[in-house]
Amino acid sequence: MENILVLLVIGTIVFLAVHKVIRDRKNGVKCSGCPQSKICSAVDSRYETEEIRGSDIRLIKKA
Amino acid sequence: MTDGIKLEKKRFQYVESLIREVEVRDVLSSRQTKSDSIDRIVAHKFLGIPIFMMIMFAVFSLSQSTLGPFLADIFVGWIDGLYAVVEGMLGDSVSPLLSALLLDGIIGGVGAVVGFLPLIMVLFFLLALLEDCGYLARVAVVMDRYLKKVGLSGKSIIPMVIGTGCAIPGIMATRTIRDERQRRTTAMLTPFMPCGAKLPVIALFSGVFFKNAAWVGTSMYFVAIAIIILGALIVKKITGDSGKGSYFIMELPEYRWPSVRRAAVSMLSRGKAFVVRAATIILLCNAAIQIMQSFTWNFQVVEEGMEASSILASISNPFAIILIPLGFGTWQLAAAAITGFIAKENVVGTLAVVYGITNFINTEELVLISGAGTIAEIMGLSSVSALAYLMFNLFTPPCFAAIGAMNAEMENRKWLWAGIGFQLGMGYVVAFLVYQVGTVITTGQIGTGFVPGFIVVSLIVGFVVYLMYGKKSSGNEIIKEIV
Repeated sequence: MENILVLLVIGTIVFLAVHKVIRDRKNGVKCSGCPQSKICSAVDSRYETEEIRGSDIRLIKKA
Repeated sequence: MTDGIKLEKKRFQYVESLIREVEVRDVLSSRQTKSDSIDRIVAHKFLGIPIFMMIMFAVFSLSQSTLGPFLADIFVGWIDGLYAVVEGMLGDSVSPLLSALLLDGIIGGVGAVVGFLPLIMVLFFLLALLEDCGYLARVAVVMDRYLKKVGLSGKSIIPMVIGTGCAIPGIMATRTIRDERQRRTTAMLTPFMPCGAKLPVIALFSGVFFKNAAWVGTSMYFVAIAIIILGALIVKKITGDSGKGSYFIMELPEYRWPSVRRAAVSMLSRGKAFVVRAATIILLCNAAIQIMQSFTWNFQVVEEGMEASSILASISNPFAIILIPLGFGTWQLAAAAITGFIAKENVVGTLAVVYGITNFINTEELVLISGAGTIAEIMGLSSVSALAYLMFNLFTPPCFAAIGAMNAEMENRKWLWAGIGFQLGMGYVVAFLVYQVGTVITTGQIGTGFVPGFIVVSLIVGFVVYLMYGKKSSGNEIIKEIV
């Protein structure tokens, strides 16, 4: 009986962890828990860049 | 005056003309602001690096040697308490396998990683303060001039600064670099910067083997910078292409008093990410490691003293043989290094599971409980081999997610494999040198497996030198293809 109970506890913990990872993936979160996970693919997440017309210079401003 | 400097002057003149058109200044440029005066010292081309070193040393002293361990001791006490409560609830009637899976695999493994949370949070808080006061932007300026000299883009510093948080957004930020070779080289080298996930590994080794010495963490950043510069030079030499001139123009924020509130918010959000990661990916990996350690390939329970027959040991053993010349050729350490490719925090979690250690922080307490002299004795590592193992984990390829990001940004399989090969080779060579040279210095004798290790390292170095200085004919064409 104790064994079944412990197995259930372990199963629940593992299920919750897997569920969280899968749910995050479905929501577009690549790394569970990461505060930047939804925006890290956007280059401009921390730095704004602005191209100067007629040149290959790009101004980089801290957001 | 070289063409490059002339071009650079022209570009700055162009930018200044643009600024004159759109900006009205209340202060004459001849009048120095406080920020300008501070920048004269902080962003100085010679003083900048020593100042950066001192600041990082102070940050690591506070987070890894004084305040961090003090908070961690309290926190680990709570985790130990939870472990004891669950152990008491399970009693003797529960199967030892299930008991070990819950206690050692899940609570112990996750607890060992989460135990470093206070150290990490103090570090995150201090880094957030540095960023908020405007200092980190100056570091970018200081480093920029060195990176440009070794053939990287002026913009390469941004991915590297971002990469200290997480390598994935760092690698993705390389897409601002227009020159293809510079972009790919930056994506290849950015993962060498110690990211947040590598911090528990640094904290573990500096705490356990070097008595919380702040120089360990600080030096890892500077070794990473040295490796990046060396790597950039190697790639530049191999490709024979210095790349298109690219200039880093950054609007430096004014110095200001950092906001404790903003730093606290940043620390909490990164701390939360650390806990969620420990409770998901790390937990699942530790459970799998515990199961693989408990069973043989015939699904028989591994008997005590026969751990080397487990699934985990049989998978890790071939890798352990390769690691003998680096000073850590045991299957447990090899298993931890392999799981580090899933997430770098896993190195700590796996070490906790395979050695049955739940408390890496309060080692004095552990000595009393386990009867062993130190964790170093349990792991069978000298301080030199521990440093080699730490560097191997830091400077071999990053986690799979970061490798995926490298693949996306490089857009070329040959570059990707060359990058992974370079990272593997670099990690192996650095660990070999640290272990063998360190062993000679500390014991006066060469380390275990010197001859085979020397052959492997010579082959790696010889191959790189051949790529760099090989005949210009067909050989170099192939090399350019590879790199």
